[in-house]
Amino acid sequence: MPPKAFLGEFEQMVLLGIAKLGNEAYGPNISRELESSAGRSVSRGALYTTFDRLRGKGLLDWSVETGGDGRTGLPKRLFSVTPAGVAALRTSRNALLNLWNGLEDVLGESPR
Amino acid sequence: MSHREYRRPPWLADVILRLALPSDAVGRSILGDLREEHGLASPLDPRSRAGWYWRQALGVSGRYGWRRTRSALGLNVDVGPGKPGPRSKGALFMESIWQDIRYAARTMRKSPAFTTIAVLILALGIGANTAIFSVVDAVLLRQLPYTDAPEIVRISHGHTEHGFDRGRDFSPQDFDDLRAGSVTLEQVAGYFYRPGSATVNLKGDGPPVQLQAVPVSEDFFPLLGVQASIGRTFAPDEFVQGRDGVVVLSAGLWRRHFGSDPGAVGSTVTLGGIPFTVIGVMPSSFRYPANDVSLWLPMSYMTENMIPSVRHLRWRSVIARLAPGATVEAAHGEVTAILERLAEEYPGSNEKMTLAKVEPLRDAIVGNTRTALWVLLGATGLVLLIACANVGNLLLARATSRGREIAVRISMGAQRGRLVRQLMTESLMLALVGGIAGVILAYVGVDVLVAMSAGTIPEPEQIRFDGRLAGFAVAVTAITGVIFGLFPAWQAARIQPQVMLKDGAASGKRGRFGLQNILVVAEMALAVILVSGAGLMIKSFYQLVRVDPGFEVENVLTVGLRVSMVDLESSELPYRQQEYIDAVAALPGVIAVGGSKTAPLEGGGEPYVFGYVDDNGESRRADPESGLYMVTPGYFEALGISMVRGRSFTLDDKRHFILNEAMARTLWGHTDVVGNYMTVGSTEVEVIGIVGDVHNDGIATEAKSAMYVLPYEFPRSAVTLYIRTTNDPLAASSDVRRAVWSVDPNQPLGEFATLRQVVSGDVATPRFFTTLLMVFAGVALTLAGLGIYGVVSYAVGRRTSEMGLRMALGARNGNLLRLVLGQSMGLSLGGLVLGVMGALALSRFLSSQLYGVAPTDPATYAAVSAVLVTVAFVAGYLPALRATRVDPVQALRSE
Repeated sequence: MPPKAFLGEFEQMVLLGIAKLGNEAYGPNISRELESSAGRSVSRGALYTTFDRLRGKGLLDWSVETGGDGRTGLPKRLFSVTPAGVAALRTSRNALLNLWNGLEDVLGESPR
Repeated sequence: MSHREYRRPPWLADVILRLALPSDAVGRSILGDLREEHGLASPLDPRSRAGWYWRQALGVSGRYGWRRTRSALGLNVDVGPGKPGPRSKGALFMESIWQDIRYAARTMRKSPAFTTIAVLILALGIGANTAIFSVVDAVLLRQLPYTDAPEIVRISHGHTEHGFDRGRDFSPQDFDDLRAGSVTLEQVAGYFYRPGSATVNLKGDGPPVQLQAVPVSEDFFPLLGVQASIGRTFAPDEFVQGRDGVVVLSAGLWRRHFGSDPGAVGSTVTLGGIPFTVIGVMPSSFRYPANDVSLWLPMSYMTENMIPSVRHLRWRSVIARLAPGATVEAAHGEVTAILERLAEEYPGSNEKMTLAKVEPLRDAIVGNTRTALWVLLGATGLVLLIACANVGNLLLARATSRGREIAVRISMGAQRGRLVRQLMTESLMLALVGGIAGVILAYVGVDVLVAMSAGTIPEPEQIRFDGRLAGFAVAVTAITGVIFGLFPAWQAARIQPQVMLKDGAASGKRGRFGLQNILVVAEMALAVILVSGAGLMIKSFYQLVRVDPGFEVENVLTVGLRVSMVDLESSELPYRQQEYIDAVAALPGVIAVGGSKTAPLEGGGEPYVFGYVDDNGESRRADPESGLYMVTPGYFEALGISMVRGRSFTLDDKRHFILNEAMARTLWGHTDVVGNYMTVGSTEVEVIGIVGDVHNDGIATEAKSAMYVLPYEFPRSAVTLYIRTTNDPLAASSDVRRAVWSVDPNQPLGEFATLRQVVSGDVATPRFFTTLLMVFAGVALTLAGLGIYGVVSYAVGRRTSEMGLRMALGARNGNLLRLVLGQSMGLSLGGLVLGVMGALALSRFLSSQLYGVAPTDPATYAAVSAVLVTVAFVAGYLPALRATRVDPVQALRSE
């Protein structure tokens, strides 16, 4: 059963970023990843509420670890995409690819 | 590269974050992330890094703070697994309120210009009220910082004919009799305070300084119920003359001269050449009877050559604590009875001195300032009402353009009640933002107010921003929001969607227009009241500064000087004082130097009873209204007081009097009295000259009869020097100091001031109130003018097509101008008539503040009317001009 709603663009980006970072997926790294691959600045307020929302939907999860350098002893959260999250990403991707299909001429690009 | 090192982010942003984020691991991890990123952001310069942190912190706190607030209010939170369950009725209600708030916030953001103007107007109104209330609260409402303060009274002793003009104080003998004879008064205490004259000389390590001292009686501190913060106050056995001196310091003196050293208690200070042991330091909140008091001494310090202790010299100010169950009225009756008994027993000194006044201590401290403060609070209240009317009008004008929106919502089934509530929410939100801005304004404003008041506000250190003031600001804000919010809400409740939607927003109902007109008339009327008040005060102030004080104000330097009595016989005093005067007079640029026991404009003539022989050869006794002034030769010359007859004093004038004209006229009916004799006690004195009248008791007080005498028969250690100079008097002060110290390097001097400053200080209170009323009136006038302008230009806008039609049909510019101006002048005349009526009714509250002008002064009202009509004309002329520029083709096409 696919999830009822599609993922929003930002939600997709966040889940993809987390998946890509693997064991390094915590706040500052995710921000940096998103900013470098998307080429725009990311509001931390939007980012952290998106984490909460995605967890509410059961698409990601986090574990709390002790903090490292520059955190004045504050803990950090390591994020991971849940199986449901992977499924949702897959659904989104398929849907998009289906839509892309046949538009190569219009967009002047070949599908990757 | 050590960019991993921890750099501290902006602390305030951090505090905000901590408040907004949940305190669990999630919140703490977000905080950690942001800190880490802040530390990592090394390529940025520190400032933009701080900026980045601030932006992110506000973004994160905004979102999380929002969410926490909502969940605290029981609203649904859009996060968390599963659907929200069924919600209770209360939660639904909260949710709808929440919707209103969000909707209101959106409306405010959508029209920033409107919101800014409305908030500014409200901030002005609420800020002015909060600022003035903070003063009223501190001065009039809050209890004095003494034990059971409402039970403490001030007792004054007056003359049945002259009232309290000559002073309110008791002689030491009358004081003792009062204390012994009273049962309604539990404790009675006396003290001696005269600004500038009851000073002592402190000799420490630095140059000698002159300090304001207050000799007090035994019961003074116990009666007020105030303890020393370090050490103790006086013990009963320390009030014996000849005992070793003890002194209690004020917190201010302790800080300035002893560097707040607790070891100061127990140390010895030299006052006027006599050693005193410091036994205590008072808390900084204790400054009775005045802010400039530096130390308190036992009354036994007052010796005969300072003020003779005789029944006819009344110099002890008296406070008392009512006995349990006793009322002010009962105490008044008893004090009067005691004074009447004393008048019978001692007719020589106490005849007609039977007037008593018993008033709560606060009333005595506040005095005439009470009325002025209430007047000011009333004035700011009017400003706030005008602000309400103005914002109400702005909202009404806007509501017209929103009429369609509201009509659509009603026809779609929106409940009117709900609409009204939503509009009220918008108004209250506006008021809230205005209130916050207003409180900030007041916070800054109070300091300006205190600085401007120049000592007019008694005990300004009592002013503080606390819960009471916050409560007041919240109440004012809420009331304000309801008042101006009622207009658009009331109007929305009456909208008829079918009419509104058919005709379109361009042609609303006439009724609304009537409401706008009423508001403008009200604004105008309120402005007239304020401007009339300000006008009366301005005229009164002008009269006041025009008063000829009887002396020449420019180019005179004044300074107080108290000669140390340690190694002097009191008969030597005048000669020592003259040495100082001669030294100063020898300075280049000094034209004349004179001295007097009292400071100018502060009264202080000593009352004596005189014998004289009238023109018919009959012996009479005189108890003149004012008193005897001890002056030195050169006094009249230094002050530029005119010599009417006879001659001025020379150094050898013993047993010689100079009278002022008022005195000569009172006693003989004319001034041709040089050579006449008078008696003081058994001493016979000769009148050698007549001088012009001087306003000795203050500019606003009529010149009274006065006698002048050289200090030989009446030596007094305090003297104020008057130094007439050729150039800037203050520039001469260092020369004067050197000249005095060339006679005795240990002689302290008080503060230098020009006579101009002294005179100007004498009218500080009326100047302060006049200035404030002027400011409030100016604000009122501006707001009222804007109100007229707004309504008229709105009307012109709505009648554009009508104007176009009229022009197309041949109306000339003049006709259109008249048409539009007719409306604005009609409004303003209506407001003017109502306002003048209101001002006349209210002006009696101002009468105690007015000098030389009647509260119903026709000239003032005429001038005020002219100003208001001018403002109304200008406010109406600008939109009228626009009406004449209407292009008929354009106007008709848009129809």
